[in-house]
Amino acid sequence: MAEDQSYDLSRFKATYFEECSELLASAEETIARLQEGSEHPEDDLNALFRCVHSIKGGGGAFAFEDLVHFAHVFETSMDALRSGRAQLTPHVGDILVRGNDVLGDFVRAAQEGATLPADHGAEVKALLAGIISGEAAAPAKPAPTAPAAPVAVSTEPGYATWKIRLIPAAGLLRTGNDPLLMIRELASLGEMNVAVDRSQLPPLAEMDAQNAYLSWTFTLVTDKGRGAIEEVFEFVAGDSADVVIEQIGAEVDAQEGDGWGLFAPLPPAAETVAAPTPVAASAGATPPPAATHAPPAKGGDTGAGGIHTSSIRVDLDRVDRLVNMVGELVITQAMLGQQASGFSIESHPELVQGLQELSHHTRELQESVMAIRAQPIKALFSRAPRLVRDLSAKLNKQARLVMSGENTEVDKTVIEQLSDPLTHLIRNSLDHGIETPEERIAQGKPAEGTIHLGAEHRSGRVVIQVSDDGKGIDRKRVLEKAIEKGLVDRGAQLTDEQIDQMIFAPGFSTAAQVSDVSGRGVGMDVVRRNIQDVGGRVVVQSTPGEGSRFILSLPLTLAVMDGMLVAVGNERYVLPLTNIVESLRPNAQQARTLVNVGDVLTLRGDYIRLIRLYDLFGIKNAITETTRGLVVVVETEGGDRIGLLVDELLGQQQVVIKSLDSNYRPVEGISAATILGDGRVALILDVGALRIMGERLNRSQVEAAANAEAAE
Amino acid sequence: MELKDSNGRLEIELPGVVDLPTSAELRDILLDALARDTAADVVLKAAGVERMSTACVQVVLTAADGFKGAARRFEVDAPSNAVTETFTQLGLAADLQKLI
Repeated sequence: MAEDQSYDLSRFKATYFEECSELLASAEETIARLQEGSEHPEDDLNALFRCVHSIKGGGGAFAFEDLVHFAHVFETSMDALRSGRAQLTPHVGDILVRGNDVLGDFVRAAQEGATLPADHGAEVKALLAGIISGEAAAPAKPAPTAPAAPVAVSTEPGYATWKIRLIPAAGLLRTGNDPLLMIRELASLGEMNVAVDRSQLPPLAEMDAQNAYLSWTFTLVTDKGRGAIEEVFEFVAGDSADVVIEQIGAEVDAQEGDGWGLFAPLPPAAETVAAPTPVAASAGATPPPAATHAPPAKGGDTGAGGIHTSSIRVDLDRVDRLVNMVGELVITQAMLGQQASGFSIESHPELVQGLQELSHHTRELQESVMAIRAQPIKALFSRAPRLVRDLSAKLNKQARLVMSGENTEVDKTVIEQLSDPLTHLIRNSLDHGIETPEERIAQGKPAEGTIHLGAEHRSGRVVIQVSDDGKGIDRKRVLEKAIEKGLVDRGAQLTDEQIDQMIFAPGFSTAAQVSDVSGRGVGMDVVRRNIQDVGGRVVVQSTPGEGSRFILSLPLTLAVMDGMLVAVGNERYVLPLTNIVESLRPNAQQARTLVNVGDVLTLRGDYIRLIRLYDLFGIKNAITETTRGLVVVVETEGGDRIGLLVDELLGQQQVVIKSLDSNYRPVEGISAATILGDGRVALILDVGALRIMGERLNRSQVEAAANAEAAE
Repeated sequence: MELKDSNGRLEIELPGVVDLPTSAELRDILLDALARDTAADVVLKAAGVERMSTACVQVVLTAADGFKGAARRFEVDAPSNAVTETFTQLGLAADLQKLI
């Protein structure tokens, strides 16, 4: 039994930590909003309080004492802000940010089972305690949870006597709430007397041990106010229990607010004071039993109480299994389609129609499943304001962050993979892009730079842009550096775009000095790799003196994509549909071989490099004559166009992506593999890599030809 | 958790944690004890309890009423601090005292 228990607990812990990470992120977002001058500071403070309070509550259940202690101080400081005892100044905002960080440290330590130094966060804790005004006497210490002795009405200033009735619904215990925990929390608010009503207990034979039968009446003397009492029952009031909170007699010196708007207001306390009732404990006058009854707080209306969400938490593994199965279904559907391709609609109308419907439904199913994994990119963007603020302070620059499209939905994996690249890009913009205020003013720009972070859906992909109005890429220096590093031949003629792309080369950095912000030359290379890992592309556009713009283009999903099946000899390849610009059968005038350059295609006045796939992959029985084959014009991440010579186009089809890296090993020019309807494996081409391979092959062929010529 | 016959008494040793599912189990065991055609005392051994849920407290109270109605003795043996605290916090200190 003990083992079962520990197993259960670890599961709850996992859920708790998941929630913590969400709550911490949400708290950070809220603090950022408060710092920027929120329109509804009270709501935000309440939301912040709730985040910290929830973390504290769960932490208490698992006995993470340090965490609970810190959270308590944190929460108390917010209480002081909320009640107006302290002012929300920028300095206080900074303390809250640091408080949230330290709270995060405690959560992480608890999660990893690590032990933090005893004085961890002590400084921040002291600052937080400093927020709590001097008038609030020793509020930062949690009150003892010892059972309360019978109490009398206190006459100390700020103290009031409350009568609280808790009538659990039968199902309360099943929801994981135990009145015991609420009672303990309530007792910690002050002096409390407990009267229990056990009249509803049924005979043992009729009892359902998981139902709640007991109800309670508490008499509490506290200086904490209604808000604090309501907090105790926040998660049960209304749904799982009837909670009635009444004040007995007048408060001696009211300090607290009126319940944060979380609960519906009660009539003034004076009205509820009436004749004593037998239920009452030794605490003087009590209201009649049928007195006021607080209507249950409904989450949607008040944003608190029992928070109703129409969502469920599902293990990621389960979703992945679903995604995999849909992938298999897509393959099966393709196979059936292929088998039935010989049947005409006249001979087998039901079969053909059924298959068409199957195809529609499969696609719809696939899209729905992918939508499960989709998350708003807000989760990623919410870290940016902090980063910009911290960094600009560090670098003595002034920068403003503008965000757009935060609600754009992206696959969860993509979000995870984007975190580092986006951080790098923002750092880069601030460090290398945005100038110092003096430089900016000298150039007639506003002292404060602007970094724009935007996301949008565009033609089946997600496009994320990070742009700044800084100095742009210094192409001269990039080129010098590239030559110095041997990345480019001296005297090579490069277009501006090609120079800009150099910054993504491994180990490339033009920063004269390596700062702890950027300049180590690992950043941009990592950015590109991370983005390519999730099937994305990154493009940079830059205008000297006006700024630069990084455009990340990412697939919406990682598991299935639309591809064009092409044949080269007996082989089948898949070209991502998003890369394809057009296809054509060139005539003799269009296909040329230029000296020292190699095969090109002239297309509406432009020269496009022609890459012969059969040559690149050594495929026999393929069409070698350009004018007899088909050329598919594709666009690479840098915006370059190349032509790929293939035998024929076999058709457009949804393909399920199977990683080559994890199932086999990375293969140059190939991004992944897929299984076709007939069970054959087809490789998915990586257009960017093909361009590089093509250039290399060309160079070696040109050199070989030159050598042969020289030999003659 | 099981019902043991020990020197003419029926004994149940409570585990360290008596949570919701365990309380349901306890209720079944106590019902079994109550249904036995015997006058034997029933003893809940509670020395090792580290955490007790409200559900368990309810079961104990109900069982106490049941055994009382059957004119049988039902007692809680050596309740740990956790048990005493739980009963006290729920406002049931006196009820526990009657069972010790």
